[in-house]
Amino acid sequence: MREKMERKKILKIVLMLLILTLLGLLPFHLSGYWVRLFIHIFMYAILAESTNMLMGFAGYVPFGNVVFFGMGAYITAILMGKGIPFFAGILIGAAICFLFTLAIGHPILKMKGHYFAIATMGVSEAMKQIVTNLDITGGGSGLSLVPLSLPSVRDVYLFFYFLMFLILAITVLVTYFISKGRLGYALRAIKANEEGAKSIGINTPFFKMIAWALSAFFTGLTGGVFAYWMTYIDSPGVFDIVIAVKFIIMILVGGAGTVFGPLLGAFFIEFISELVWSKFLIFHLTILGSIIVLVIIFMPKGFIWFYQKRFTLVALLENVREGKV
Amino acid sequence: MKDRFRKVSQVLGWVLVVGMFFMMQGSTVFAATDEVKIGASISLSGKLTREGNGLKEGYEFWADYMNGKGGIEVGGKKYKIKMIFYDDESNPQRAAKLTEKLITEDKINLILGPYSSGIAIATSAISERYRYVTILPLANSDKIYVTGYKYVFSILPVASRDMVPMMDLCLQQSPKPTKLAAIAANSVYPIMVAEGIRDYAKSLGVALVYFEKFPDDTSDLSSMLAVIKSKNPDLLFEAGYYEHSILINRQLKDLGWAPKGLAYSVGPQLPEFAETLKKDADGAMAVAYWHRALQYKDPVLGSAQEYAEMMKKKFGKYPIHVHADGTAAGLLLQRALKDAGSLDQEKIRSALLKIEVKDSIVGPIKFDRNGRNIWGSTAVIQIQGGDQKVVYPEKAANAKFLYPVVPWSQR
Amino acid sequence: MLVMQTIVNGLLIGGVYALVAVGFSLVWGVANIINLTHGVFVLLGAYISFWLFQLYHIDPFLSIPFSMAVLFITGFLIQKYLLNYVVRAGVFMTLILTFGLARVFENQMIVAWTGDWRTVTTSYAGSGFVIGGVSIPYIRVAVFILALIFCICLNIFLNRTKIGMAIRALTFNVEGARIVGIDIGRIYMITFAISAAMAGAAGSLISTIYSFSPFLGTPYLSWSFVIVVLGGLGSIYGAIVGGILLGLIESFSVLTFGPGYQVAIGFVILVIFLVVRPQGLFGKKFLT
Repeated sequence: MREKMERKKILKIVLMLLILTLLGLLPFHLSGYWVRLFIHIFMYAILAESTNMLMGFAGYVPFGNVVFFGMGAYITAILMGKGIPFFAGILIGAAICFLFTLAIGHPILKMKGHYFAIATMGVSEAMKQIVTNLDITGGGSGLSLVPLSLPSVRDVYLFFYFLMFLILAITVLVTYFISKGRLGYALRAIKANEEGAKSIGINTPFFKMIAWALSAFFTGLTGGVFAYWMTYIDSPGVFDIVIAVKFIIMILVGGAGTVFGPLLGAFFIEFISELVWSKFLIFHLTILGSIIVLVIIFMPKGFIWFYQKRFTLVALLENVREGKV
Repeated sequence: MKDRFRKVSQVLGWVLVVGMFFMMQGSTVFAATDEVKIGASISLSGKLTREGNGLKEGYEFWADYMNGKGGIEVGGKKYKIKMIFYDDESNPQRAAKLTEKLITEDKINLILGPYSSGIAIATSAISERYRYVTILPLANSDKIYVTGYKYVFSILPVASRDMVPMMDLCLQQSPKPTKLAAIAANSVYPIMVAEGIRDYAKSLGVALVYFEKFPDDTSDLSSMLAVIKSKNPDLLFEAGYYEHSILINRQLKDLGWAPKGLAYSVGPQLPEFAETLKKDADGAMAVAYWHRALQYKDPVLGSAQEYAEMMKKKFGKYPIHVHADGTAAGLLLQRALKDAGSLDQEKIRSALLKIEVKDSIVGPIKFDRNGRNIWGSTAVIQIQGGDQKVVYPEKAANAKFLYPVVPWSQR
Repeated sequence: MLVMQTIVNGLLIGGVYALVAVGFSLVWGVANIINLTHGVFVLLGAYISFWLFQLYHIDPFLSIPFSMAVLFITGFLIQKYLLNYVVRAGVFMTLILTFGLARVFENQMIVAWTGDWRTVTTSYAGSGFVIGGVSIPYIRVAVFILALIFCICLNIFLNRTKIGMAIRALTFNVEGARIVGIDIGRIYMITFAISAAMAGAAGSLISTIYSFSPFLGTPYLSWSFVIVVLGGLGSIYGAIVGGILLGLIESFSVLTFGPGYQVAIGFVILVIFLVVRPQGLFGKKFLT
C-alpha cells in the first residue's frame, strides 16, 4: 500500500517535470500565434491561482479582484513612464496592491458571503471610474508604455512567455505551501465554519487578510507584466469585470481550493475561449455564455471533482438534482 | 456499462483535443499568388458605426477602383487587393485583439487604420509591436504621435488645432463673444481637441467659464448642461463623436437654452445629424476635414468633385470626409508601395517618411518624423437650412457664417 | 435656480432608476438570486418599444404592456428551465449563470439588431414647461409618474393578493413556506417573471429619454446594485427611495465634482453602505 502511494507520487512528479520541459521547449518550435495563446493562458492561470488563495481556501469570493490587475498595470505604466525599470515597476505595483488590501481589508473582510463579493466589486468599479478621471493615469486617453525593444518580435514574445511562466510557477508553489501550512489550515477552518474557527482561537481577520493580500500581490504583478506586454492600457480594459468573472469561473471549473485546479480551469476555459473567438468571431459570446451556463448547471464543483467521480454521467445529473429547488 | 461509458468519453476527449489542435492550424493558408491582403479593424457597429461604415466604403472604393485597373503595382508586378474587414464594435480592446488576429492568423501583408484615435491608439500599440506600418486616415489625436511610435502615419493634421478656425470665425463677429465653455468626451481625440481650443482661447483672452470631460459612454448630460446654462457662455464647443453631439443637441433643447455659437467636433460632419435633428440642427458647426466642394485633385482619381460623383454612383450618396480620407489612405499606401518597390514594412516606412504629396483628393500630405501630416489643414462647416455649408476658409466657402444661433423657440 | 434644476433632474431620473432596480431587488430578496441578466431585460424592453415604434408607429408609452408581457414570459421560462436548477446550489452559482446568460442575450441582440445606438423620438420629444427658470420636459415627468405607479402597483400586488403574499412569505422563511405547502419552484418562476416584466417596463420608459445599444445594459445593472444596497433588499419602498436618492446624488455630484465622477459616486456610496449599514435604509439583512 505504501509502495503504491510512493509510486503514484513519483509518477506525479515525473509527469510534472515532463510537462514543464514540454512547456519550456514549446515556444521555440511553435508559431507566434501559439506562443501568444500560451502567454494568455499563463496569465489567466496566475490570476485564477492567486484569487484561489482567498476564494478556494477561505470561501470568500472577491469579485472585484480585477482591481489589483488594473492597479498593477497602471502603477507599472506610470513608474516606467518616469524612468523606473520594468522589474522594479511591477514589484512596486504588486507591493502597493498588497498594502492596499491591508488598508481596506479590515472593514471589507468583516462582511460575509455576497456582501463581501459586492463590496469588492464596488471598489473595483469605483477605482475604474476614478482612474479614468485622473490626469496622472492619462484619464480617458489611457497610458502608453515604451515597448520592450529586442532584435526581433519573436524575442519579445519569448521574454513574456517565460516571464509569465515563471510567475505562474511561483504562484503555484506559494499555493502549495499555503495548502500544506498553517495558513491553509486556518483558511479551510474559516471556510468550514468561521465562528467555530474563531472560537478555537484562530485569528480569522489576520489570516483572511493575508490570503487576500497575497492574491492581490500576484494579481498586481500580472497586471504590471500585462501593461508592458500590451504597451497601451486604458481603464475599461484593465478594470474589466469580465476578466474577474472569467477567472472566478476558471477556479470553479478547475476546482476551488486545490493547487492545480485553477490551472486546469484556466487552461481549459482560455483555450476554448481563444479558439471560439478565432473561429466564431460573431457568435463567440453566445458560445462562451452557453458553456458557462452548462458548466454551472452540471459541473459547479469543477473538473477535479468530476475526475474524482470518474467522469460519470450520473454525477452530472446528481449536481442538477442537488441544485434544483 | 459504466466502464464502457468511461472509455467512450475518454476517446471522445482525445478526439476533441486532437481536433482542436488541427483546427488551430487552419488559417495558415497562403494568399493566392498575385494578391495583396490588407486588413482593417473598423467600427462597423457600436457607438462609431456611422463613421466606421463610411470609412469602410472609402477603403472599398479604392480597392475596387484599383482592382478594376488590374491591381496595384509593387516592384514592377501587379497585385490584386484583397480587403479583410473586422468589426471592432467601437471597442479599443477588441480592435487591438482583431489587429493581432489579422497579423498573426490571417497573415495580412498590410494594415489600414481604424476610425477614431481611441481605437487607433490601441491598434497602434499592436502594430508597433509587430512592426507593421499603419496609415491612419481618421485618427489625429496628438497623443498618438508623441508616444514614439515609428510606424504610424496620420493623414489628418493634429487634433489640437481642429477647432481653431471656428474660434477665429466666432471672434470676427460682433458683438464679440467673450465667454467659452468647452467640454470633451473622455477619450483620446476629444481631449486633445478640447485642450487645444482651451489653450487657444486663453491665448486670445477669451474667458473659459467651464471646462470638463464627460464619460464617453454616457446617456445623460442634462445635469452638466444645466450647469453650463447657468454660466451663460457665448460659445459652447464640444469635442466628441456623433452620438454625443446628438445627445447634447437634444438635451440643450430640453433645457430650452442655446449658446450664441455652437460647435461640435463630429456631429454635423455626418448627413444623419441634420436628417435626424431637422430644424434643431441648424447653426451647429463642425470641423471639416474634407468637403467635395474643396479644390483638391488626385493624379489617379481626378478631382474631389469627380471622386464625389463616382462615389455617388457606387454607394448612392455623396461622400463625406470619412470616405475621402479612407480612399486617400489607400492611394497613399499604393504610392508608398510603388516607391518602396516591395511589401517589406521597413521599406514602406522609409518611403512614407520621404513622400511629398502635393495633390491628393484630401489635399497635400507630408509627414514629420512622428507621422504627423504637417501640410494638412481643416475647414469649417455649418448646418444651414438642413444642409452642410462650408463657411471657412473664404476661398472654399459656399455660404456665409451665421451667428448667433437661432434660439429653439424661434425655430 | 441651478440647484432647483439639479433637484428636478435628479428626482425625475430617480423614478426610472427605482423602477429599474425594483425587480432586481425583488428577485434577490425572495429567491436569493443575483440576476445579472437584469440589465439585458431592461434593454429588451427598450428594444421592443423601439421596434414597435419604428415599424408600426406605436407610441412607446402604449407599447409598455406588450414589452412587459414578453419579458414576463421570458423571465418565467428562464427561471423554470435554467435558474430553478441552481437556486439551491448557492447565490454565486446564480450570479455566474446569469452572467453567462446575459452574454448570450447580448450577443444575440448585436447579431439581430446591430450595435447601433437607438432612441425613440416622438413628435412631442423636447417640449416641456418652464417654472421659475427650471425647465421640465413633458416626457421626463410622464416617465417619472409612470415609474412610481408601477412600483406602487407592485407593492399592492405583494401585499393584497394571495400570490403576492406567498412571494413575501418566501422572503422571510423558506422552510416555513414549504411546510405550509407553497410550491416554491412555481413562486420563484412567478417572482422572476414579475421582475423581468418590471425591467421591461423600465426599458420601454427609458427608450423615450435615452439612447441605448446592446452594449449599454451594464449601467442599468450598476444602478440596481447600488439601489438595492442603499434602499435595502426586497423592499419596494427601499427601491423607490434608493432610486430617487441615487438620482439626486448623481445630479449633485455633477454640480460639485463635474460629470466624470457621476458613476464612481454611486459605487463609493455602495461600499460605504455595505460597511456601515448593509441592510440599507429599509431592508432585511442579506441571506448568507
